[in-house]
Amino acid sequence: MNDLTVLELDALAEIFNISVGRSASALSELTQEPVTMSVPVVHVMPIHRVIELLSPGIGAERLTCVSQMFNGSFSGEAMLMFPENSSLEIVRLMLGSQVPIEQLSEIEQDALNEIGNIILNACFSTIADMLQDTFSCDLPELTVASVDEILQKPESEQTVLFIQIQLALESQNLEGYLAFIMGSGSEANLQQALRGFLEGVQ
Amino acid sequence: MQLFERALSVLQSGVMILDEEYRVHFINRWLNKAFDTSEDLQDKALFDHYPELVGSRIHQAAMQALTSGLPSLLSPGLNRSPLPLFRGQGARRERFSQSIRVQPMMSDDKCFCLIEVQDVSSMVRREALLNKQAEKLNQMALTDELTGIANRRHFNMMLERELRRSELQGTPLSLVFFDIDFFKQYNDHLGHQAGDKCLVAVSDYLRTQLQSYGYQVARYGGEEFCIILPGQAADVAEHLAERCRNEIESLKLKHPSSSVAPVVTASFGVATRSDTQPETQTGLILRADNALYRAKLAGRNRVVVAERQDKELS
Amino acid sequence: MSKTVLVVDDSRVSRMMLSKMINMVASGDWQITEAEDGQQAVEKATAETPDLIVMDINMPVMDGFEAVEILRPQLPDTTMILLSANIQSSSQARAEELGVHFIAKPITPAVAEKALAIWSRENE
Repeated sequence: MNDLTVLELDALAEIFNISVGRSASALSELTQEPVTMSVPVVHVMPIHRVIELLSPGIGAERLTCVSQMFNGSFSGEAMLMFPENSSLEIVRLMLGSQVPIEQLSEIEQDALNEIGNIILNACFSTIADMLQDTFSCDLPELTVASVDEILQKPESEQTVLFIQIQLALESQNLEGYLAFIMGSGSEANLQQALRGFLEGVQ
Repeated sequence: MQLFERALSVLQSGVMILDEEYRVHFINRWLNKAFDTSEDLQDKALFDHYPELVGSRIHQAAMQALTSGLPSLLSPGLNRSPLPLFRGQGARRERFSQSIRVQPMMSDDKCFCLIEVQDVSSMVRREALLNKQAEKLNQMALTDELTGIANRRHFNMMLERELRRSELQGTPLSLVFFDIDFFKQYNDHLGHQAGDKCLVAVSDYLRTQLQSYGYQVARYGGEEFCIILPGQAADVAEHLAERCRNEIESLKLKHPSSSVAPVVTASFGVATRSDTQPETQTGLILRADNALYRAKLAGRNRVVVAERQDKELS
Repeated sequence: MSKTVLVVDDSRVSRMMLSKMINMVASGDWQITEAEDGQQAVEKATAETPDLIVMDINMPVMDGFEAVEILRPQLPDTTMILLSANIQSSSQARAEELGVHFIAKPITPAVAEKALAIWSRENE
């Protein structure tokens, strides 16, 4: 895929900003707490570079990953990832767990799955609205593993739409990551869709 | 009846299919029964029938499945019981915790959504129990078993927190260390059980006295105790230490093998965080402990205040 | 005399979309100026006194709330509208307290219509 233009990246950033904004509303309603989410950065890069980018900060810590396979004019796997410690913090704040826990219980895992599902669904519906497309998705699945294990795919040259998100609730700031791993041919379709969208706006 | 239909009708979890107008296209026996109605919900408009559900998470999930083709998960942790479903008979009838999945389905170009419901009450109950136990264990880890006051681990945590706060706010912080005079001899003479009782008596008394000031007394080890005084300088700390010394002596616990007094007494060391030099936790503890040692050397049953840190260095 | 609207968003695409929607809905009536963040918005609004300000909340340097806190007392006759995808009640309440309106993103022709309708109502 050719590199996206500045304007195309801006459009993507705005799409995800709106997506996480909508998710924040939904999560806020769910937990009855104020929730803010923003998207500071959107990258488009091959998988191995994402691993390089994440590894120094995360090191050996594991990531909690909620993933949904998706199909549309661009297809692939969508993931929401949080470092394990942040995940524990999120469930503690959202479920009101008082106890310092080292591991996620079944209830907490389900809750994280739902949180990931809310955020990923918001992304798909916003992309669908703005780029005039439709998507179908599988139910979310939760895994807890290292950066390598999660992002290890057969083709490490696969393009990833990689987005850093900031989540703020109850005066805690947590950083997570969205990754849309795209199947071959999808990147070109995405770029096409973005171009079409921008033509409509200019 | 087909085998599939029969399977759905004996399934011990809920299956419901809504059409584009949120009408119940299909509902299995288990779920219809759980809805706590004698009516057959087949073909009913779900949200007309249960208007309290309009705008709820389950409504939004169904909407997302039917209009956007996206599946949703409603976890019991974040949504205790999204649908009005009940289990049990008579007096024991109660609304149960649910785990729900909503998935879009297409048939003949028409959109439907499949709602799958599970009763997860026992899982929720079990986890609540585990949480309670974990909480208790955590409490135990911070409590001295004999006296019920904070143990050394808890004291270290509190001191670190208060030290950091006093540095940030520029307020003073004092530490008082004390230990029971001739405690080994007390034990040898009167037995360990009596020794334990003595420790409990002293800590109980001081704990209640200090509570009104908001100070916590902790057991540092053996017969050694400590008190953290956030926001207090050496003069107040010394005054408090002297009061405690006096109170312990006034308890008049007979001590036949003390060469200082016929009753139980304690020696006190006081140290205050320096506001000119940065101080570590260990540093402050050492200075208090040193002062305590000097109190022992000087004859016991007294209070000694550590020199100001900058003075000591010169 | 044509009216001026100040469009504020750190996303260039968003500014483009808003401008386009406003032109679609009420072309010719409105002169559009832009700013990239709250600080620029304060500078431009102070200098130009727009009739209407439509501003994103989430921006670097200075966010929408901070900017309206400064501008609201300064420009009592300007209609101010905040835009955001995050529509929780605490944000809406805060907007109300500050005396400004609140519309949810994404930016559609309907959003532009609503913004202009709000201005009309305030200037009858």
